[in-house]
Parts: sequence; C-alpha cells; structure tokens
Amino acid sequence: MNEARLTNLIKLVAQNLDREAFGELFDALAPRVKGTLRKRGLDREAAEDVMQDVLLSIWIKAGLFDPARGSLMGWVYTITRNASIDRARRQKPSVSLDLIEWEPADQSESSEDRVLRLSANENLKSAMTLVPADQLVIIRMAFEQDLSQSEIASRLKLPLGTVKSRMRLAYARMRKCIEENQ
Amino acid sequence: MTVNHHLDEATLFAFGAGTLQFSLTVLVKAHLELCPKCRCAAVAASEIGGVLLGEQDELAVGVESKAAVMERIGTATLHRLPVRTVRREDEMPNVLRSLLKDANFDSLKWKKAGPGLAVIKLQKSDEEPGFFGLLRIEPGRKMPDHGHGGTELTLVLQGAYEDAMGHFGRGDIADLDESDIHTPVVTGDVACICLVANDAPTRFQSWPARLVQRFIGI
Repeated sequence: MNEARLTNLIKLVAQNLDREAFGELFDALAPRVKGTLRKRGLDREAAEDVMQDVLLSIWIKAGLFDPARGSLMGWVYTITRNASIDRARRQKPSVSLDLIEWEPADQSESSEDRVLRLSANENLKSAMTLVPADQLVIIRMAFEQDLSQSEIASRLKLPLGTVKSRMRLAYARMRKCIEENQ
Repeated sequence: MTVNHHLDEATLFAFGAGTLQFSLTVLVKAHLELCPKCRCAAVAASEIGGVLLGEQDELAVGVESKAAVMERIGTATLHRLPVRTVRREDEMPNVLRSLLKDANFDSLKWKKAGPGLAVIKLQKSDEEPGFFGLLRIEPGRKMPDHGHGGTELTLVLQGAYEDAMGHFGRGDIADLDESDIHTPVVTGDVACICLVANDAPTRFQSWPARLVQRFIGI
C-alpha cells in the first residue's frame, strides 16, 4: 500500500476515530511490524505482544502524526523501535522513550531544517539504492538486526572508528539525496 | 538559548536504529528536547527505518490478534496533545524528570565527590557498562584531564564550561570518543550541571584523579 493511502487512513483515524480505516491500517502494517520485531531478535510470542502494543499506540497517537514532519512509515518505525527497547527493559524502573520526537514544528527552526523534515519516504528509497554496499551492510545490521556500533565492528572485523565513519557517510549521502530531490 | 554543539551523525544513526545503550539513549533524548536541529536530524534517521519497514517480509497475523487490538482501541485513552517541550531556561528535560521523579536540581541528593564536585548516579539498564549520572561542578573548577574508553556524551543543563573544543552552554552536547582528551573548566558564576553517560570507564591522566575515580565510580 502506498504512503498517500496510508496517510489518508491515519487522518481518518485521527479525525473521525474511524475503526474501519484503522482496520485497513492494521492489515497493511501489522505483518511488517511483526516481521521487524522478529528480526530485532524478539521471540514469536514477544513479537506478537509488542506488535499489538505498537498498533494500539498508532490508534492512540494518530492525532500527533504530522505528514509535514516525515513519512508515516518513519513514524511507525519510531514507535516500533521504542516499543522494542521498552520491552527489553520491562522489569526496570521505566522511563518512556516515546517522547518528543514528533511534536509540532517549531518556529525557531531554520529553512534548512525544514527541508530535511519534509523528506519523503520515496526519496529515501531511491537514495538507499545509491549507498555503496559496505555502507548498506552497516545500515541493515543496525536498523534491522539491532546491532550496536561495537557489535557491527566485531562482526565485520573492522575498527570501531571505521564503522562510525561509514555510518556518517551513509547518513550524509542520504541527506544529500533527499535535499537534491526536493 | 542557541545550541552550538550537536550530536555526531554516527550517534544519531545508532540512535535512529535504536542500538545505543539505555544511558546514551536518555542523553540523546534529553539533547533532542533542547535542540531543534538534532530533532530534525533524528526524524531523518527514523526515515531510514521507515524505508526498511516498508520492505520488511510480512509475517502472518491471525484474525484473533486483530480482534484483540480492535477490542483494546475501544477503551484506549487518546493522546491528542503532544508532550510539552522544554521552554523555560531552567527547565529539566522531560526524559530526565521522569527518571529522577523530581523537577528541581536543588532538591536532589547530591553526593560530594571531591572539591567543588558533586555527583548523582542514575540507574542504568542491566549490566550496561560505564557511568550514567549528573555532575555538578562549582564555578572556576576544572575536571582533571581525561580521555574515554568508548563513547561519552555530556549534555550541559545549567551553567557552562570550556575546553579545547569550545564553549559549552545549556543544550550543548559533547559527543566524544576514545581519541578525545579534554580538561573542562567551568566558566561563569553558577555551578555547571551536566548529564553524562559513557559506555566504558573514563581514563583520567593523573594518578590522584584515578584514585578519586575508584570512590565516585565515574
């Protein structure tokens, strides 16, 4: 399902508490959220539990989603990531990590910042195809397999500094591509 | 407040992926509350996750699972108002306030750790390595020369300090790694309060500092 359709559905959920629209969002997102959680190392049962929590959060927070700030998939990813971190430290004195990343636009931001926040998911997709293989491996290890910088360094038998500099390069390349595509 | 020192892009990348240890994640969150520029950059990093989420293999989700969520949304309380951002100059970032269960630096139980230095250790996650806590350093004092075993993030919440990398005031973050050695000196006439987290012990250059380190656990 494309981003425009998904964005329209979330708007219906936010404005009208439209259960039917939410049902459609559930069908589109739940299988991928569950897939992401499994890849991050959660077992079948935990992935199912956390997926349900993520989808519930999407209903609860639909009114906070602002398409001018980024894509729906990026927003859903953030909720999924925070939920999986919170799950990992469930027994600890908890602090919700799900704060502030999505509050409304701030007047003090420069136009350069706004260019970035308007980044469309589509632009990033094409940017990702231009990232060299050695950087793409690191993107996938971090974002999909939940590996830290030092874990990536030891798996790839690279110095930590090299992993960090490849992260910087990958990030800079994607930023540039987004900006050129505006 | 203008923030002049920002997060390293490699740190934002790791934060976006959700792979920073808990203490460093809290530091990044606290900085994001004070820094619109890094907040935008963090959204951009999440977009990478969004693209990968879109490409993700779909795992079967049962009808009973959907029914369970549809039932839960019937009773859920909706969030229609965003979390209030930090606006006042002396306000504590939300993420820190929720950890400390207190909003006022003065009423915290500071532990004296040396001349002009007080510390509050914060609870880390599991067996997470390194130091996580608040430091309060009195005006004119300096921290002994030190380097870092791994990544160290220092966020200024009150007052200011200076080192070879420049002047760090409220909202500024020093994102350092093992190659950086510095000697921060507190400037101005108020104590400097910093939130500090690292993922390996601090390496002090002098033996007296190393001796003190054993007692305060930085």
